[in-house]
Amino acid sequence: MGVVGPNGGGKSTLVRLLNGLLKPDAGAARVYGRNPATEPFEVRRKVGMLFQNPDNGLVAPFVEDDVAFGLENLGVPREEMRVRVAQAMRAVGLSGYERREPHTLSGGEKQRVALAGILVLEPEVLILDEPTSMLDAAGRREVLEKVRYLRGEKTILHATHHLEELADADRVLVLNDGEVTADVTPDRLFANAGLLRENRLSLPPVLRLAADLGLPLHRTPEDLATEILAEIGDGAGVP
Amino acid sequence: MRLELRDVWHVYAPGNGFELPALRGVSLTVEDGEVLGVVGGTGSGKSTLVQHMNLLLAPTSGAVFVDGVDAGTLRKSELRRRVGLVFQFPEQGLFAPTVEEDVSYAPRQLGLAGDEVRGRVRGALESLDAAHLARRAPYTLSGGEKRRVAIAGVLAMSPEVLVLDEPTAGLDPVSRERLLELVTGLRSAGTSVVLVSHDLDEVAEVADRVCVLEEGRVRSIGDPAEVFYADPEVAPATVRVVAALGNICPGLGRPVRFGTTLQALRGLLEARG
Ligand SMILES: Nc1ncnc2c1ncn2[C@@H]1O[C@H](COP(=O)(O)OP(=O)(O)OP(=O)(O)O)[C@@H](O)[C@H]1O
Ligand SMILES: Nc1ncnc2c1ncn2[C@@H]1O[C@H](COP(=O)(O)OP(=O)(O)OP(=O)(O)O)[C@@H](O)[C@H]1O
Ligand SMILES: [Mg+2]
Ligand SMILES: [Mg+2]
Repeated sequence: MGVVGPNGGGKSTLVRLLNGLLKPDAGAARVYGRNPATEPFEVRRKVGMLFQNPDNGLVAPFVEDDVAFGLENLGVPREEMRVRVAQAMRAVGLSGYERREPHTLSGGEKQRVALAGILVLEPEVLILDEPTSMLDAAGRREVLEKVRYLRGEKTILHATHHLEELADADRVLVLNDGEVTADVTPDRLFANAGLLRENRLSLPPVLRLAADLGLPLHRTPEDLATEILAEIGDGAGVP
Repeated sequence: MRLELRDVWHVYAPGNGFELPALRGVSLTVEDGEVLGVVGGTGSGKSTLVQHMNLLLAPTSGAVFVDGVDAGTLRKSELRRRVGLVFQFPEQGLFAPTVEEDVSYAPRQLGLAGDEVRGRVRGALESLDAAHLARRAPYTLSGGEKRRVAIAGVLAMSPEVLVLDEPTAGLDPVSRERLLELVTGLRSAGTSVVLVSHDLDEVAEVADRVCVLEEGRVRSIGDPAEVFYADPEVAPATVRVVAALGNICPGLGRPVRFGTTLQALRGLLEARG
């Protein structure tokens, strides 16, 4: 499930409620039937959470300790821990960074470390609050592939300002001023100009080009180019 | 103001075993009143580079020049006032108990009168849609709200060069567009802007020139069309669509911005359709 909406709409508040960092003033949050506010440890065993600012989550002296932090809390044996940490570091492309101090990393490197710290836990639910905000195009693609690979197997809540990242989501929740203003499929959201505008959203460039040209909403530049070729092929012919 | 970096090297933590040349002989200029886009992969040296522009980091070797004068000989306070830097992580710049005080900090340092300070603070917050946050404590803000306030804080200083490190990360799409408009507006008013971003589409929209960093070196720098069409693999969506049509439809030219690309593609469809 994707979560989108304006700055200050309530995305991060929602995810903090689900992991017990915040308590609802009224109403209830439940994760597998448990109350995250009163049973945070049980809930966090199942829910891996990536915070919006990768700087805040990194606390250990060395990168490898940071990635291992959650496993230590779960009481995983040392040997297994070493193997899993090494795997997670590899998965995010940071092998060799084990003994680096987190505060000396670049923005994208920090975000990758934070992600490794979640993946290593193999949680049943992944809550990702803007997981790609500091990543380059390749890093972004890798994270999205990971999400795609895990979907179906895991429940994923993915907050983002980049709508293209949610093209494969089952649902998208729109949060604006603390209220759910829509709960729709990505295709419906992309096609609804009014809904987008009211929630300070806009289509990413490829989709916007396609929409403005009156063509089907292709997601990749290559697909859009193919569509355009097909269109002009019907006309005077391609020279 | 014209900024020049001449053969700048930067080695972090020399001699501790993790010695790493993050910049390896970077030479470039930021011309008076231009928008320079800086792009490149994770860890390529973008943040390290821009922190040399106001000598927050000193080059291990090489030098930085401001209008031809060695920046090392200028007073730090003067340099930081003329070259305003917004950090990649906005928290690094937010200290005061309220947003208003935070944004007032720099103009106060300049010794401006109370009215002038208030005017600048209001103007800066308004231009980032953040006036409603003035009385809030910075640490209680949402991610995107913090980002806006951090930018306002540097804007209120009216620097001659505004250096923005990933300023749109965490902004909602409308705020992102507004920020790009702000950049274009500053440029028309004569301010130079350095825009570091992973979002090539937004760089394409506003940059007069683009610099691509790779492993601490300048891989290419120049006109956005030159740079992006030379390497469509790392180019904005607009360029990738046109490049994919390139061999068959040479008449499209090499548009980079959204508007010109849309126009070119429309022309193509209308002519043939
Ligand atoms: N600790 C706090 N104290 C007071 N208000 C807060 C606090 N944290 C968040 N808020 C406010 O609650 C609202 C929702 O914030 P939240 O962080 O959930 O937004 P968001 O949707 O994640 O925004 P963004 O896209 O900017 O990350 C905002 O108006 C914010 O200013
Ligand atoms: N304080 C430091 N000590 C040691 N190494 C550092 C330090 N800061 C950065 N580095 C390293 O220098 C390299 C360049 O970092 P920099 O932050 O300039 O990259 P960047 O291009 O801004 O990356 P990103 O897109 O991830 O923000 C990285 O490999 C990083 O790990
Ligand atoms: Mg948030
Ligand atoms: Mg950086």
